[in-house]
Amino acid sequence: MTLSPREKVLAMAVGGTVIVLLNLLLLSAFARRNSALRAELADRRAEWATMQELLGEEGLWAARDAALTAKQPGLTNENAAEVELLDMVRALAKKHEVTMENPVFGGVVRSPSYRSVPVSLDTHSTWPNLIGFLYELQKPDQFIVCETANIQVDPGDPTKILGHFKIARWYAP
Amino acid sequence: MPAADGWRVGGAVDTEAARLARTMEEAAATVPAGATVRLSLPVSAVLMERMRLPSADREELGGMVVLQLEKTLPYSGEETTSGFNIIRQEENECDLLAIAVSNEQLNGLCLPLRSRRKQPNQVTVFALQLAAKFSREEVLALIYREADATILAVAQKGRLVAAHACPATDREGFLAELPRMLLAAELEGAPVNFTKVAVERELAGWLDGVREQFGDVPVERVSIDGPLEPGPVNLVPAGWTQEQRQEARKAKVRDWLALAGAIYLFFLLAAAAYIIWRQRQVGAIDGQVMAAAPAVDTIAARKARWMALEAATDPTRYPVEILQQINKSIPSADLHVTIFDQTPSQFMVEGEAPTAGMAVQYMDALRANPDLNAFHFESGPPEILPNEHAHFRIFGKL
Repeated sequence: MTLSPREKVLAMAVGGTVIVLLNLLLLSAFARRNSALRAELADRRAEWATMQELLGEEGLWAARDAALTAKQPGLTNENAAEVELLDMVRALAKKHEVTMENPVFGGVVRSPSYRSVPVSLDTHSTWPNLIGFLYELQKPDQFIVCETANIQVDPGDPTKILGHFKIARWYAP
Repeated sequence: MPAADGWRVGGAVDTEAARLARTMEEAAATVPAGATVRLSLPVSAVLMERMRLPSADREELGGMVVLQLEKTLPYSGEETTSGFNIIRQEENECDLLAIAVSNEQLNGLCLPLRSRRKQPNQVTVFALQLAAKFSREEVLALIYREADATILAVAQKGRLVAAHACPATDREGFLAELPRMLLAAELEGAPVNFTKVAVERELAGWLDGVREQFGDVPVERVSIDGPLEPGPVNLVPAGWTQEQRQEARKAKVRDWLALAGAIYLFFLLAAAAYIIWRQRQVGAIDGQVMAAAPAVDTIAARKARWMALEAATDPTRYPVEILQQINKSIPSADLHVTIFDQTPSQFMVEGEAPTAGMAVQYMDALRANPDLNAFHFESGPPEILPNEHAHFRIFGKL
C-alpha cells in the first residue's frame, strides 16, 4: 500500500507528535527520578554526616555512659529510699534555717533511663537561706533533681520567700 | 550487453571475461552491489531513424529530433527517451541517427536491475558501441547475432548510420533476407559502397554466403567481445535520473536519521547510566549507614541516656544556677523578680520593672547570657500596671 503525499505529511505529523510526546514523557520521568534521587542522596549524606559525627564522639559517650553506670545509685528499697531522701532534705533545710512544710511522697516513677523517687514539699525562708539550701541540695554525683520548682516572694512578708519543690533522686533503672 | 542468446555481464576491462546470463533477471543477480551499471540495448529494443536537419547546436537539434520523432512514433515525447548521433555535419545541414526507446519497455526490461537498486547509469545501443570499434573503416557492414536476431549494421568511420534486425538466426534465412535489408538501408540514405564486411567470429560458417552477397568487398571475421566505449547516446529516462536523485536524497535523510538516532540513543543510554550511577551512590551510602548502624545505635542510646539525666548531672540546669543567672542579668536594683517557676522542659520568670523599657532590656540580657544559651526565650509585651510599672513574664524553653 502506497501513501499519497498528503497522507505521508499527515503520517509524519502524527508520528512526529507521538515522538515528541514520548520524549516529553521520558524527559519528565527522568527529571522526576533525578530530582527524587538527588533529594534521597542529600538526605542520606546528611544522615551519614550525622552518624559520622556521632561515631567521632564514640569515646566521649562511652566515657559518659561508664561514668553514669559507675555513679548512678541503684534502688534496693523504694520505701527506704523515699524516707532517706526526705531525711536528707529535712537535715539540709534545718542546716540552712529553711522551714519545710507539707512533705508528700510521690511514689516511684519509672522511665527508660532512671527510676525517680520524688518528695514534694513547701518551704518558707529568706532568699539567702533558700539559695544556700538549694546550692547544697544538688551535686552532679548525687542524682538529686528538682523536677519542679516554684519560688515567689511572700505576699505577707516581702523579705521572705515561699517555695514549692518536687525533689527527686534518680536511681538506675 | 546483448548476446546471441541472452545477455553478457561484465567484461568492461581486458582482464575480466564477460559472463553469460539467459535472462535479465539472471544478469541482474550477477551484478555486484555498488557496481556502476551500463546497459547496452539490442537493436530490436530501440527505434532508429536517420534524419537530415538544419545545422544547429546540440540542444536545438535535440528539440528538433523530438519533434520529428513525435511525428513518426506511436508515442508522445514524455513516453519515450531519445538521443541522436551526428553522422555528418556541414555548414547548413547535418545528417544524424535518432534513436528512441519506449520508457515503458525500458522500465520493464530494467525492472530486475532497478528492483535490486542497480539502476543503470547509462543506457546505450550495442550496435553504436560496436560501430565505434571500427573507426578506421570508411563504410562498414557489420553482421552479428544479438537477442534472438541477426543484425546488419552499417557504420561510416565508426559511426552507426543504420541497423536492421533480421528475425532469422540461421545462415540461409539471413542470407535470403540480406538483399532486402541492404535495400532498406540504402533507402534510408545509408551508404552501401562498403569498404569492408565484418562478420562475428561465431558466424564463421556464414562467410561464403556473405562473400557471395557482397561481391569484391573484403569479408573478415571479427570478435565482438572485449571492452567497449560507453557510446555517444545515453537513453537513461529523465524519470530515472529524478528517481536516482530522490534515492540519493532519501539515502542522505536515512544517514541523518541514523546519526540522529545514534545521538538520541547515546543520550538515552547516558541518562540511564546517570540514573544508575545516582542509585549506586545512594546504595553505597545506604550500605555505609547499615554497616555503621549498630555502633551508631549504641552511641545514640548512650547519648540519649546522658541527655535524659542532664537535669541531674548538668549543674547549669539546676534551679540555683538558673536563679543566679537570672539575678546576674537584672539591669537595675529597681527591677524585682517576684515568681520563678521551673518544670523539666522550661522555666518562667515573672516580675516588675519601673519601666517597660527596662523589662525589655532585662529580656534582652537573658537572651544574651551565654550561660543560658541552652534555653530559647519567649515573652509577650510588658503589661503596664496602674502604678506605671511594667509587669513582665519571660519563658525560657529547652
